[in-house]
Amino acid sequence: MSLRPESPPPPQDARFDRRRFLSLAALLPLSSIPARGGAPEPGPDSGSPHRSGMELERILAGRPDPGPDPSSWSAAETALLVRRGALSPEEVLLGTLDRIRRLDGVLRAFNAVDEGAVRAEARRIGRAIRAGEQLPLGGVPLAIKDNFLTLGLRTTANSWIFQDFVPGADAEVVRRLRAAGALVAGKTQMGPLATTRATTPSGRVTTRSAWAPRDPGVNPGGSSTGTATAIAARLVPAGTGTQTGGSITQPALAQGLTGLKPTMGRVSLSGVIPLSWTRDHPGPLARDSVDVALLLQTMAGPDPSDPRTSGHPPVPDFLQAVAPVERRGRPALPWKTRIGVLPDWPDTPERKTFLSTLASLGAELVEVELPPDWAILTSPELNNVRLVERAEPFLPWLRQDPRLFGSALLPWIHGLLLSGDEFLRGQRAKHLLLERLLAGLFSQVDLVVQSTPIPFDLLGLPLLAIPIGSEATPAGPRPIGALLGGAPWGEERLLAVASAWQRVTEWHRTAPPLWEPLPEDPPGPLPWWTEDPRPPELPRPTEPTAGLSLLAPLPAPVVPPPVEPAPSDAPPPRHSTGTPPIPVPRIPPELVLELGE
Amino acid sequence: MNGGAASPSAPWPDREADLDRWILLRLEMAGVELSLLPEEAPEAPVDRRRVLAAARAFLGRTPPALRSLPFAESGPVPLLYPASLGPDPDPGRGEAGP
Repeated sequence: MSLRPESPPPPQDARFDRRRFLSLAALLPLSSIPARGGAPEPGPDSGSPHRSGMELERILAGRPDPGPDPSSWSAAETALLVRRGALSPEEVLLGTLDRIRRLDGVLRAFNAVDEGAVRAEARRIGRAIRAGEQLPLGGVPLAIKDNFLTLGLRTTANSWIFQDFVPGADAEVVRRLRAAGALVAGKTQMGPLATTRATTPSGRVTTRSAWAPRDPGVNPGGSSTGTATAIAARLVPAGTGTQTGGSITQPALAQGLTGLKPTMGRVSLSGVIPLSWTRDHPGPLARDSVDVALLLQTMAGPDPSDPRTSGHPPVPDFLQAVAPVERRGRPALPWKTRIGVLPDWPDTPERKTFLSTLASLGAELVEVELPPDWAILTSPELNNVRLVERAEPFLPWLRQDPRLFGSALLPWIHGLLLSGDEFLRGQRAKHLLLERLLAGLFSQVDLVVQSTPIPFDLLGLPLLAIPIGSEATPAGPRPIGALLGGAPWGEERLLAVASAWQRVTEWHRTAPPLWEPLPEDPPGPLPWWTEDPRPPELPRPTEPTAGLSLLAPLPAPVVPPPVEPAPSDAPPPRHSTGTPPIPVPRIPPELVLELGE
Repeated sequence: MNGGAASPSAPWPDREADLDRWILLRLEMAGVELSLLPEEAPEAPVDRRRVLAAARAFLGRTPPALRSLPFAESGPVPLLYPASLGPDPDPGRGEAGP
């Protein structure tokens, strides 16, 4: 099978109009009412996924046999094998549900799982595939972060405010993924209102790292914690997250995954509980770049319900970007790519190997300087102007009772303390930083490697996390990752670099150490509200339809029946080690200000 | 916010108490009632004492940092006039990329 000897068309980041992105970025703070009136309606451009022209068989050419165990299949492999009839969507799903039951009582990745509904959907998808319907994600079970609205499935954002909220419509991203044949395996735990790693509203740690399921002190990253753990633990192959301050890339780095924060506006935020108008980005997490491209292909594109998605170049073929390329018989990058290395990028052995490998794949490494006033313009204090954006839409609940915010309250209070001129000053500073970055750094290079998500989060530029190594610790191996930041609409190039790296390395295939549940482990899922429900002395929160203007008016929330644990099909009991459980830490509210979003 | 009571470099008696009053008043103007929180409760997710301490620390860092941001106020203001974004940094490029 030929491996694309011809050069593909230039990627979008080589063709973008920089003035257009600057103008979009300038308008962003003014679009404080992104969605109004009526349930999200699919527009003429959003009715069907933006299809790739690439065949999955070509993309997956040269990969090792995925083997008979569906838990080790990637999303792309699952879609292909289901399409070929190796397993039905329901058979794949039953494996997912079984692993959630057996393992998630310890991992705590999931909140709501509606087994009956998703099995019925799996059967429907199976019939559609047999009838010849082309579904790019047909039968692929996904983890959906619990700030994406899901029709009929409780959506809580790990917050007392939304504890009882059952939406009457899907977020646009969820609608598109379902339309592509994906299955919503369940809603995943997260940092409360998208702050921190996953905890209960009081700050008690819930979700564990898949690399240390018995040690709650090992940070799994957040706030898209549950999605990352579910993928790393092989409960599902892929899922969704959101990123405002590292919340896709940080858990991806912590758990050896590939996670992408796209360009602001590339993916619709309609139906996602907001944190920050100008910073929230929905994006995919998976174990490799092909899966990220596969999900992004469906998620991306304009949505009339979200004006942030207007004015961008058309959605490109992300799967073409990750298709294998060879030159002179060796894996290569599809495009000439200059990769900038920032002065503060630590020079570890893993990172040296990463850079030298990228060079061998055809990248040009460029030492770059930081733009003027970098330290001030990327300071945590400038970053704090985002807090105004979160306070305003949540005023109805702040006014009703600030205790509803639990341990997450502090940043919302701070957002009310900044003045209008300070907010505007911060937006001007962001714009200045973006101008300097585009005129300076991104005139010299196409991507940068870096160690933090700043300033790509605050500027709306794409950012990708990929695994590049592993370190041995007394408690076991821990993944090491790298961040690659791109120019506006640089997703193709980021994914192409990641794909080429992943063709010559195995870190993305490295699974956490095996472990087995103990007899005393409860069956999963274990939603946060079973452990830390809203205290009875707190008022019933104002309904989201009245509170969050970003969300379309929805039917009144329905109080769901109590969650009953599913019957356990766990293997026969094993002897307990007798080891006492490790105390579960609680994250103090002051640390909420410092940790990822 | 210092209300002319003292210059920034001079000692400010009762600054912490004044700042707390300002914070509470500012929140009250926004309709947020901090008195619903317990005054001091280490086992509670948050209490009023911790909220005020964190808010004082925030106000001590963020507004001063924003004041020191490096640009001239007399420059173009892109946010209010999106059709006029100031001088194009690369007028020769047009629609083409690098």
